[in-house]
Amino acid sequence: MNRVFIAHAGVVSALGRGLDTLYRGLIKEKNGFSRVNRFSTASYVSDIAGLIPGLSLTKAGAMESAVIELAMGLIRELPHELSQQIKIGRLITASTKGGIDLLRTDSFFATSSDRQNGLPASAARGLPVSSLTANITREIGIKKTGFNISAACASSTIALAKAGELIRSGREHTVAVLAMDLVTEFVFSGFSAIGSMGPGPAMPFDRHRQGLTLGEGAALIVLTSREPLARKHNPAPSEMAGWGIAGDAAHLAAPDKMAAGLKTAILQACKTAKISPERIGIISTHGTGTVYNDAMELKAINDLFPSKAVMANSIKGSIGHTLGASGAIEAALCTKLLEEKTLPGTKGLIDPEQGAVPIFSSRNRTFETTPVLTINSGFGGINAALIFQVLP
Amino acid sequence: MKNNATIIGIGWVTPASMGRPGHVHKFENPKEMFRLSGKSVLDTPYKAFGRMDPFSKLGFSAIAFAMADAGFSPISSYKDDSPAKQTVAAIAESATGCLDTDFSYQATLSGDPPHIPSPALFAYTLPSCFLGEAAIYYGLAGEAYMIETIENTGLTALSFAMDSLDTGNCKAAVCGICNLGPGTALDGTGPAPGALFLVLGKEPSPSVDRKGNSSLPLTITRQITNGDRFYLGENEVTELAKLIQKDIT
Repeated sequence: MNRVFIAHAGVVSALGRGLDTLYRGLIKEKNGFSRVNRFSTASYVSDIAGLIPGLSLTKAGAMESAVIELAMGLIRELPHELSQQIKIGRLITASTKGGIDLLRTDSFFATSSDRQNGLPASAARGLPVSSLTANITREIGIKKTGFNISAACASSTIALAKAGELIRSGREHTVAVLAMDLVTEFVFSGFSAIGSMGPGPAMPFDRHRQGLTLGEGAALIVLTSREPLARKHNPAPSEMAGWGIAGDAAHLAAPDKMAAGLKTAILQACKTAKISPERIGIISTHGTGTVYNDAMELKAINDLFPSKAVMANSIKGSIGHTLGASGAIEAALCTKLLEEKTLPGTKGLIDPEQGAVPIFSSRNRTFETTPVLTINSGFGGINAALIFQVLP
Repeated sequence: MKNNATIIGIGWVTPASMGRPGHVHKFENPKEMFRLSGKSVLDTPYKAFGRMDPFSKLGFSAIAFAMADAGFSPISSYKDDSPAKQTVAAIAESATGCLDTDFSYQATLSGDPPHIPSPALFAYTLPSCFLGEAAIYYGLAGEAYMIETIENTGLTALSFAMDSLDTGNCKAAVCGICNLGPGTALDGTGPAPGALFLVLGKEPSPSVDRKGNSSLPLTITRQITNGDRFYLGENEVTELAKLIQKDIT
């Protein structure tokens, strides 16, 4: 069985371009939220989101989604020497809605006749998501057809787990996971309608939390079986040691109050990593700021880590909920945590929910070398967990 | 390296028919596949069926036929007050995803004045939602996700389903393909609309005797050398639909 090392981790979020920018922004308690002016928010419960600075969505009549430029930007940022030395065997994308910005009411193929005739195959660069993945795969010169993992807000966590399986089993040496989602009226209106969006900035694990704040972002994580490459190109080389995926089978739009699926996913990840839960010192949570998600995560954490020696945070009070991209952004951040050994505080946390203290804090906290767990859950009752650890 | 899985259930909805081996309902008109009802698909009612979007109804129905073929019962039919959930994976593959539903939801935003967005419809603008519905109906607590790819062979879903068995995390896995709406075609110029699912186990299910119902060999072999290749006996399988051609025609 091969081990799975991190060759590269890149991020773009509401706090700017680059993993270092994201980490420094979190440590400085920056807030990436701004007023949405891409569309009218008058009918919705909120008017803010975590928007990527300078990013514009596709214009009326445009034939290419803005998400493609977002993705290609991350690929261009791969260090030249690394891209010369590494051969990516497979691309897995992770996106819930891909180039949904193309689906504007005034866009060229949203008319009823286009709908009946089907999409012109050459026209839509971003929809359906399968063609988005195929386009990016072709552009970066990977021979094998890529695929997208769609599992709601756990999409990129699961994509990383699948990449890990491909490498561990020896079927691939290097897999790139590219996660991305945009803030569009499509998703903004939907989250407003289903009642999970809050009026103000998200307050994860706070007693007075009122719901999530949407965000947009992307992450590129290159996983490899080649340990020397991981050591050469990273100041704190690390591995993805464990992963787990499990379902609640309880409710389509709400998490299981008993957190059974999430606990199973965490225990599976520990089993893959061959460590016991007590070894984990840091948890990067999903922490959306909705009443039910945060309660479910607190249940899982308190049940599996009863000594409360673990430290956890959520970054969604800083950059928003980036949907399918959130797992990979948080996974990238985990590799940075292993290097910096300081866990950013949870922005928006003022009056911690019962069971959140001392595990969560609004303050930055230092820690000693430890495996780091990251968890995400999504619509349909799906849960996923990853474990990262630094190489000795 | 080689490994095996046993096919313990098959179900489908195509423009020609729907059902499972030995229980086939032929359509007089291909458009019947877009008018699926809970009564025509399920023995045990599922109240969420009626509110699902057409894409989810299609995928859910094919899964339901496959699960019935494999001898699985809905969780509500158990007499125990708190039946144990089962470690069964649910993995689907699609070229179109739920784009048809995306169009429908976008249309709710485009009135003048705009309509109030439908929260029920928005929930189904995630292509993996019907897997969540199947998980709730049958109590499936294994891994579940949608793979979107232009390849549309179903073999990526099949491969990951076999992984879920090999790791020991799941005792069975339901996997298959589902396509509907823009981009699909009945004339072979795009993926055909329809859904096909298999239920896989590591061993033949002792409670289900499918041998009288299916023309298939029961064991599928995966050979992992420079990519996954799948075989039924001596014959290589290049797409899932061909696997059951004799069953669905």
